[in-house]
Amino acid sequence: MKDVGIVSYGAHIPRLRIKSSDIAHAWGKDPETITSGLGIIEKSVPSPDQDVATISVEAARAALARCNIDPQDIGAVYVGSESHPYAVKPTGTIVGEAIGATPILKVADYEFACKAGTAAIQTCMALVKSDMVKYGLAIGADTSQAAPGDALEYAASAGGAAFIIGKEKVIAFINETCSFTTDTPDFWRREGRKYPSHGGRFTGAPAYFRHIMSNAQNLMQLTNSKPEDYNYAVFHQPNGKFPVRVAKMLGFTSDQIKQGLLCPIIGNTYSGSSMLGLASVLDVAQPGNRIFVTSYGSGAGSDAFDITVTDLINKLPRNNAPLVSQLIEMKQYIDYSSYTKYRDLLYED
Amino acid sequence: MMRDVAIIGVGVTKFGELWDKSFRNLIAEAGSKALFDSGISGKELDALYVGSMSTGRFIGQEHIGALVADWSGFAHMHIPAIRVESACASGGLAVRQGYLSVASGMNDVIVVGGVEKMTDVVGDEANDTLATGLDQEWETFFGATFPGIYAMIATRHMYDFGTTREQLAKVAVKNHANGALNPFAQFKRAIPLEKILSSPMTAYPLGMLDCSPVSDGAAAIVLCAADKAKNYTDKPVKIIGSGQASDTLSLHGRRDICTFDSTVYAGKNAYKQAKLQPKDIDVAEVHDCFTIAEILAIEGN
Repeated sequence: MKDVGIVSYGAHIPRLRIKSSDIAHAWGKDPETITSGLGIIEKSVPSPDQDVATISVEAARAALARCNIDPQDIGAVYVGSESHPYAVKPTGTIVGEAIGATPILKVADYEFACKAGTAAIQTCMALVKSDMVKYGLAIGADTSQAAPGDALEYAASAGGAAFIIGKEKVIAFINETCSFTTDTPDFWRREGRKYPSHGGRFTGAPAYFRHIMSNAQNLMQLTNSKPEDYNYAVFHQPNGKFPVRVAKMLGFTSDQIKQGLLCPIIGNTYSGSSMLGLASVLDVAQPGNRIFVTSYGSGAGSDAFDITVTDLINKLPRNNAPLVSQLIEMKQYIDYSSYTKYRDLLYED
Repeated sequence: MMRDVAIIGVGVTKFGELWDKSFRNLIAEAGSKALFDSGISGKELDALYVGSMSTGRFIGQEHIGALVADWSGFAHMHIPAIRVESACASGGLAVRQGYLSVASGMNDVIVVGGVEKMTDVVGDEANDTLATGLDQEWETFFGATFPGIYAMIATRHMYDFGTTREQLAKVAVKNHANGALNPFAQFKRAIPLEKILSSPMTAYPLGMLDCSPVSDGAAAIVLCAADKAKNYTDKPVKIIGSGQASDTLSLHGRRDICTFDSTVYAGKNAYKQAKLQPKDIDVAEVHDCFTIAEILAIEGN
């Protein structure tokens, strides 16, 4: 058992929602085909005054509300996203200031498509383990854009989760972590472009499935474990189908992935995807539960974590901040025209 | 004076979305399998024919006659290498051209291959590329695609003959069932009629499962003058008849849009040369890019 783990966690999901069927109607597609094909019913939409900075701050404050550490003891903040508000000017410093962790603080923004946040967790683990910091704050959050009419429009949503990593007062130990990385250009956005491009069906077998399968199998080999050894499994969720399929391919059951499977009702929160799934599991986890998390980021790579919940989870006042299930229920529907206005799809010349 | 031609070896790759295999990998695999099957080592080859519809647009590569000969290891032999194109009939036409070159006495032993690498393009690019097989100025330019053109044929066929969607779908049921028996097939699962009928509409009345998928794959055969074939195999398969014909490119120019006159005439010539009739045929392999395409093909011959 490694001696580093999660001390607290927090989540934030913007309250606006749009249904896949409304997007389908806007583009003349059959809503039933889209919804059942992608496995997404509705997705979250950020309001005009929300972005990765605000979502990260909300999630970080939620994590702090649940534990009573001194923010000044947080020695590092890493925010992973593919929709940072600035190309140059870190989101992490905004978060650091907002939670009172500055100025003795290591900060950087991370980018690796949908797995930037889990990479941040790994960095915090190393800093804590080497005693370079007492606590590290790793955040994954996104308000990703999708080109109007593109298949991604049904999934690209907004949300994020924050994890405080430390050695003391650990509610869940991270027993082991491993990564699998190749140069596979399945999905990308060039500097200066508004929307990402993707390789269509190439994003499946050679990208998502290859990296998650390889990494998950490596983690199980490293930890000498099997799917049955885990109570929960969380996989990156670009749509409602891929995580279900990869879980089955690896030998996990639908019961194991249920708690962490959020994409069907909030869409793909990109850097927030696996992290929110983990937060949802921690909302209900009990001491001794073992959790298997495998993220995926296009470009491409996967980070996997073998986590064991400690007795201290029941001492954590989880209700001091909204549970993921509560954030999901706090919703307000908008139609496609409002969506285009809020997502800045209507150009003024 | 035309002499008999035999097939002395065959090779085929798996078909599918072959992310790990390039155009070159595919044709080299099929070609080397065919050579191995025939027992020739390669130095016997007098020429190489290769059919591929649209390498320029799919992989940005033209000049594939030379490329395939080179990539197969024959560059130092300096044999003639010919690329043949006739849209989806590129492979078949390559066989015919190869056959003529052996029948005429020009070549004794040749290899003929057909190959396509379609999955290196994304989104609608594959459909747009296929649509270059239609009449660009009168069909493609105005938005026609292959599914759209075949949908019009199907609609007229249903109007003229009362053909139903169920009857179209039964072609797909049969062909997917055949696929389940073939280890090289892209789809190896039998699909029930209801699933074919309820698949999302591509171009009415053709649903997604009335249409063939985008695919990568290659196949090759070794042709030899029949009187020399026994040097290589005890089981030569003779080409006893071959025909080729053309027709208007655009669908609206056809005499009857529910008849592929080109296949009727090509078939007539093949049957005549072979001195056979349709009822003598035991197995027919026809172009089933869409369910309606198979129906027109078998009606025409």
